[in-house]
Amino acid sequence: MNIELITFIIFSSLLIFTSIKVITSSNPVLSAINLVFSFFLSAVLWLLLGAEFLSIILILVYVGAVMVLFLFVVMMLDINIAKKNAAYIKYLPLGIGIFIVFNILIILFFINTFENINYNAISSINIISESNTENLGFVLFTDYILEFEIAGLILLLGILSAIILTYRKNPNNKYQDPARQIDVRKKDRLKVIKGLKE
Amino acid sequence: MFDLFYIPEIILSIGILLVIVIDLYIEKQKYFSYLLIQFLIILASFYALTEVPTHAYSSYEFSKFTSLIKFLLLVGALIIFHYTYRHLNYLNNLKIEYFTISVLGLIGTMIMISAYSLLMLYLGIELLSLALYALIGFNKASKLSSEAAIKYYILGAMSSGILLFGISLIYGFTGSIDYFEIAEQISSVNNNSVQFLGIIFGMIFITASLCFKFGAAPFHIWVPDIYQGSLVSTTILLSTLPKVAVFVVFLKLYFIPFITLAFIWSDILIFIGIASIVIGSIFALTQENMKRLLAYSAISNIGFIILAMGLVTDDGLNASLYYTIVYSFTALASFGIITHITSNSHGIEDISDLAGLSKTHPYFAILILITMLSSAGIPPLIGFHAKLMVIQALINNSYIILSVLVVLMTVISAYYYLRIIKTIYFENRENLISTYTRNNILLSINVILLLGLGVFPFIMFDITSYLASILVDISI
Amino acid sequence: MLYEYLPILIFLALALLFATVMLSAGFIFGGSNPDDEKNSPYECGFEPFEDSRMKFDVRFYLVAILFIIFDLEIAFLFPWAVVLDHIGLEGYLAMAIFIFILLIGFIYEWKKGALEWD
Repeated sequence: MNIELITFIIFSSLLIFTSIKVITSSNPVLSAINLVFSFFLSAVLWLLLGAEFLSIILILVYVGAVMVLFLFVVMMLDINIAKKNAAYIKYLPLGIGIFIVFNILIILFFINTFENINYNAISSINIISESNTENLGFVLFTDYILEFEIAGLILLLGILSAIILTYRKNPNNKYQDPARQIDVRKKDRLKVIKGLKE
Repeated sequence: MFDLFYIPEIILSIGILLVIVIDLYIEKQKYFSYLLIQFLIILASFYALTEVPTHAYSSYEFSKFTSLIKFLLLVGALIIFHYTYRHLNYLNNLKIEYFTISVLGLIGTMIMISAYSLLMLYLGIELLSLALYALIGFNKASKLSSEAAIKYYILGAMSSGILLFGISLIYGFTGSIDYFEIAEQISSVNNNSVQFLGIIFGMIFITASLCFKFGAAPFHIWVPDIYQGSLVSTTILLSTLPKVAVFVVFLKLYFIPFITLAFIWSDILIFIGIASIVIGSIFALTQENMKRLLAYSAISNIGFIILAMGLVTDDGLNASLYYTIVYSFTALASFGIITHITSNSHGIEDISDLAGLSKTHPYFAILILITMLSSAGIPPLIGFHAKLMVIQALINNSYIILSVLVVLMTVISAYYYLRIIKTIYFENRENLISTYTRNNILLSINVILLLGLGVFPFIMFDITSYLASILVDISI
Repeated sequence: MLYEYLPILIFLALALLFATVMLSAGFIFGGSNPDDEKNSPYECGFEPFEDSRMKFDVRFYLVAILFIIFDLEIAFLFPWAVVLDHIGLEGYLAMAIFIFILLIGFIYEWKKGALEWD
């Protein structure tokens, strides 16, 4: 057994464990923390596949930013302990059924296919170097420019809709404008009134 | 890629970026920004009609067919924005962001239509759905609106996940996301291999997700709630533009990459179509809420479109194209009328809110009469020809039992359309119905076209057969 | 390639080991004699009025989501910077347009006042 296989087994079994904890733990904050762990562990799995860039991004974006958002939402909703209500039990058998079917399908595919499949099926990708990051960047900025710009539009739409849905301007707020404060001249503030001469 | 400045998507994108900035500096003159957006759409639709770029970008299609569909979408958006502006103004909820977000969603629909690769398709769908989430939740004062937005968001995110799962299965088993390469790969795969099974599963996942976006029967649960919760102006948008776009996506997906799997997806689509028609017609019977009723009617109309496509024949394809155009046209009219009317100083919610409309506002009563008769499929109107074409296609392909069922469902659905007419003309209730305008020329034209194109159906037949003929050019 | 990451793996294992040892040492050797008073939160001698959790303002969420969007922009900048000399002018302009689109978003949120806390 080589070290990669051992690492894979350790991290993937931990990943399964934390993922189960995400959906079963009754405290939402604990769920969120477990989600952080599972992101982290899947980043390691990606690293084992050689996708360095994606694993770093997973940690940077998901653990760094998305999880902050999750925690904010959890705090915003102010749920302490989610109660396992009747619906949870009612839909549990259905959920387990779907889980089993999905897993049988996936296992069926992956056991059978990865021994027979033609690995050269993925052929039309330009490769410029050994490094995953460089290849990714090269493909993204040559073949997929249009897709990349559309991603920009999606992000812009994200900004617009986040602001439109959550932001309320409070008209009673008072602001200081430093530029105007500096710009003040003596004659703006001081009015010399000449006294009336008798 | 930088020689594409004349395609409508780019014009709209650049223009909308400008409008976002301009609107920040002239916050008070909303009408100006609105006019600017309308001008942009007119400009884009002009270029959609006149210029068909010859440039080849592997994952993006430029053809007469897509240009024409884009032109139709842009005209639809023009009319919708016209209604929306007045509606929002009337409700004191006017923000230019509503239009900028809608335009970004419109760009999403165009990307979906032009997509030649699954990645491009996904990005288009995301752009559209993100816009719709925001538009549905736009009415912050209403609890129903927020609830609808959250429902649609969660279900939509899940369906996007399913779509991505399907796409990755397809990518894993064919090694490509390009439509044509996928088609090539699938045709060379052995029918009994596990690879073939995997491709079929990928296709089914994609179908499920797209049917969700379409609002077809097993995946229709969200439709009534979301139609009810959002503003009427959002509901028009939701019931026209995305449906046309998803229809074209269906067409392109099934007739380019998955064409060799037709013997599988044809049965699936026929099942989905029939289920949608039955569920849409029967559940609509008990609805009291106008928007919910129209939502179920939309489900059954979608059923007709999918059913006709599932026949995999020329006349089925023609019928589904025809039905899509007619459906979006009718939806534009029926929701357009509702944006104009308020009852007891809130928007129309229940059908009974419309009682007595014929006495106070005979103009709008007649518009609703024509639209509902057309939806019900009464002969001289255009809705009749649409339903007739689908049923004809069914009979031509010897689906006799199905066609009997479809006719039966059409008769059932006629009941609730006629119920609306009965409420308007024969019931009197104390309603303070008011409208912000005596008449609307665009709306009148829209409704008169329903009648006129029904009396002279050959105009529409010619348009659809032209569309179908240029469609043949692109399919393999 | 993977062997470059071996130190990180070793570091992780050591950190885990170290943390476990510290915590378990405290747990095993430290005395523990809890009662109700010790376990309740100390609030200047008063009985605690309410739960220490409270509803957060929605503005935190807005700031976080705006942060994520620009975080993603940086995620796109990484692979761009690495291959800048392979992708030519087109790639350069592509990133320029992308940043311009997000710049519009930034102008929007700044002018709207979404970045102000008041």
